[in-house]
Amino acid sequence: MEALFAGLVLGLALAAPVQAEPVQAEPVQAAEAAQVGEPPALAKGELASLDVLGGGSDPGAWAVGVRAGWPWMAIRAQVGLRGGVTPLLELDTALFRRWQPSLGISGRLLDHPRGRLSVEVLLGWQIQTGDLAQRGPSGAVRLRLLGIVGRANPWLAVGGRHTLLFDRTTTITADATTVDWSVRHRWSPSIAGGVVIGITKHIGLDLGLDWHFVDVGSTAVSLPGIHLGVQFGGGR
Amino acid sequence: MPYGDATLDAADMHLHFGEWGAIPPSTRTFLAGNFPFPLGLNSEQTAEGVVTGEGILSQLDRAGVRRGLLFAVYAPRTVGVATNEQALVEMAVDPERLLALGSLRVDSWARDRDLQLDALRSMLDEPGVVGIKLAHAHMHFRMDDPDYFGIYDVADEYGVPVYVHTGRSPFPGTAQEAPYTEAQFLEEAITAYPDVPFILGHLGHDFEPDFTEPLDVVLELAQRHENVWLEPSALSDDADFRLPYAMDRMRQDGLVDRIIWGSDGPQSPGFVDRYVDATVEAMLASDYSVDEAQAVLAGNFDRAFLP
Repeated sequence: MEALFAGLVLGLALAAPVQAEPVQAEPVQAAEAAQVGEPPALAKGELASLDVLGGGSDPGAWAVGVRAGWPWMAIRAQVGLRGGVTPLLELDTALFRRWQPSLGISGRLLDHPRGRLSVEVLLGWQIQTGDLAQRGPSGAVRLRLLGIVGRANPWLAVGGRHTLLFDRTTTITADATTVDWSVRHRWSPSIAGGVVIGITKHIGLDLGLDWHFVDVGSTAVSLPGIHLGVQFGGGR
Repeated sequence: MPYGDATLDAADMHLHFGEWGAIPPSTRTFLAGNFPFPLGLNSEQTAEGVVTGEGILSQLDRAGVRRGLLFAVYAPRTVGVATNEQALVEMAVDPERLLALGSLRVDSWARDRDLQLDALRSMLDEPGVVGIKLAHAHMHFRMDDPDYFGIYDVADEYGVPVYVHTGRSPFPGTAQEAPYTEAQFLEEAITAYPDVPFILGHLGHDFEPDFTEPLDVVLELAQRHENVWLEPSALSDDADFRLPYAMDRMRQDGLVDRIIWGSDGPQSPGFVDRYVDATVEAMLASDYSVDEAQAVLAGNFDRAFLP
């Protein structure tokens, strides 16, 4: 994980334009940026869409993201609190057969005018219906990396979800009925990336690829997916 | 089907059609787990897309395979039921490319024996029905039980081969004990019916890491009996050991003219394509000549089923 984190930080550093000077969050500089054609809100990176894809929100800011695609679809809501902590609520589904409602927190590890690195920790439940029915508590950890380079901004998210599946076996004999519990573990690492476009400070779009390696060890192959997302928010 | 610089004809002698709902739930779960994610989430839809006559033909087209043999199956406690009647319906999609093996129920044998044998005869009267499919492990009767040898009488009467599943099976409910799975228990029937070709499916595959012992038994049977044929389907493994090893051993033992290729598909989209590619790769690695490879992929099929 440390190596991954270091790699992401290095990637962010390399992705930053050479000529870019650190932009201070000062009104005067923001105005200057507006004069040269940069979207005003980008001068401080304060777009709802960037909060959703980059993780974390400033205190008082809220954002909602809705993602539609194949096979994954999702809705996510987050609000920034004092102290740099952002509670978030997520509901992921694959083809409306696998559901992953989660509640968690997000925090920015790196908050630079040209990019962000954040970590998210979520706890929730996994419910899958159909012939491969399963249900149980799950938890996910995710790192988000966002480059802020202009109107269209690249983002990357890597993470993994662990799920525990509890099995109850009831044995009925002439003498007694016994109930035994056992547990199985499922691990689903994922990687996603794409481009987010802030249309205004309050609304944006993203296009991305998702690759969830679902239930490694019990699912032979997982196919990649694609999504289109819309984000909106306010509170600033 | 490319083979080195040559192009070969190919026929798949082992294909399953059916209705998802006719498969027992535990077996559906097993099968759905083999579909790539997210196709397993909508397993019924995925399966229906590949196990109909049209779906099977599309899988054959994708694999470059000209002809396929559909298996009727009566194993209600394990892999489910795919009826003779439905086989005829699926074959009708393209009778030039799809043939079938008929089968019969044996779960009420003491009561229904004559009825079932007559139904099997009726099936064999149909054009394009070229043999009989049995799986003792899935159908729960011993390979050496003479009460069931009447099935081989029918094969002898019609001059058609009998395909026999040999080896264990991953499906829930399978009778895994030796008399249901190990090919040596079939020798009495093989000896008693020298004019009936017995096709030993899966080459005794036992799902153990070391595949050599059951393969030895099957190859020895083929050496001893001219009416034993060999079908190397469903031998994929993560180590990529079983299929190349089996193809090499059969050639070393001089049994190439008895190998009839089958995949055990369609299983999931693209499976037949991957399996025929793996078979070609194994034959190239074992120095099968073009003529030998052609015999394995189609020539022996034609000799066995379309004499």
